[in-house]
Amino acid sequence: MIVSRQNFARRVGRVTVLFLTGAFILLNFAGAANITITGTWSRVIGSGDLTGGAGSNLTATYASATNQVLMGVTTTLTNWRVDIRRIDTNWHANFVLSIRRTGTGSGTGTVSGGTNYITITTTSQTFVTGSGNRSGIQLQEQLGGVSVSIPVNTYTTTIQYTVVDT
Amino acid sequence: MKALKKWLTGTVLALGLAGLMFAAATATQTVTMQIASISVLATTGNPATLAVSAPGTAGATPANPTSNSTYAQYTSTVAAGITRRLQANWGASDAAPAGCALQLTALPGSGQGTGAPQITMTATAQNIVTAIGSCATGTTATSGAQLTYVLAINSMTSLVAGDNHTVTITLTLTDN
Repeated sequence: MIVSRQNFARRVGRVTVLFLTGAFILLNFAGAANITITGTWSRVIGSGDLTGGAGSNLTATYASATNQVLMGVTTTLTNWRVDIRRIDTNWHANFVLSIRRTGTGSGTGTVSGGTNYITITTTSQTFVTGSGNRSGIQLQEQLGGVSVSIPVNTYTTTIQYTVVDT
Repeated sequence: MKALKKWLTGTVLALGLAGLMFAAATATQTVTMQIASISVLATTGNPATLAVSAPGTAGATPANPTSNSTYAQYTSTVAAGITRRLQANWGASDAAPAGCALQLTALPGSGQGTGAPQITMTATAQNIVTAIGSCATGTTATSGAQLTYVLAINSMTSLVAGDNHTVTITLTLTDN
């Protein structure tokens, strides 16, 4: 009985070692990806944004700098895509937030797509695709739908970028 | 053979674990937009001269001269639940000609506030448009709250020929 317990313990030990070895190897091959976003965008819209002085409306559309946001993807994956969506904190329904890629960045990998503005909604959608490592990918954002009908307030939303293995 | 089975078992488990370990990586960025309070006001110019002229019929009282050719144009943004008002007054030393009073009415367009009853001009600011929320009246020559000035003849016997008065009306868009 004692011998059986020892044998059982040894078997469990061997299986555990084998399992951990396999997991270690495979985790290294399975790969992982990371995405970094640098930069935020804020804008105060006031009387200086009227289209023509007293009696006129606010300019409807505002664009950030072309390099307002820098995106980087580091990965051991072959191909990836970046999905985006909006998570509202206090956002006005009239606002139309869009984004586009204005640069390719640098690195051994590639990035493609996303050069035309796409509207960011609360539903995740594909923004750009790529492969390998890429950093400093320039992004530009645009806000539309602005008018005097939007109450005075501070509006905030969060753009979520998700890198997905393809 | 047993070792191979164990290794395969470990491999399968590891694959599952690896699959669980790599899901999707995310990063976030905040976008903040502030609509500031805006209160901008202008007029389209000066009203025509309000001149008392001879009536068409001898013995009749002259008609009250009127000018409605000017407009107050404004852009206003306010927080939810807040409104503004448009007020008018003239200077402390201003006065209408003897026997007359200067009256003013503003007629705003739809969504540009509520016109107040006609006022008789004084040095104290009085409402001519109330309940102005967030709006833009427009900027064409006939956009905005139409201003109607009336020189009301109150006392015919007090009129003095050649009595000219130039006054300055101040319009103010103010928070409630």
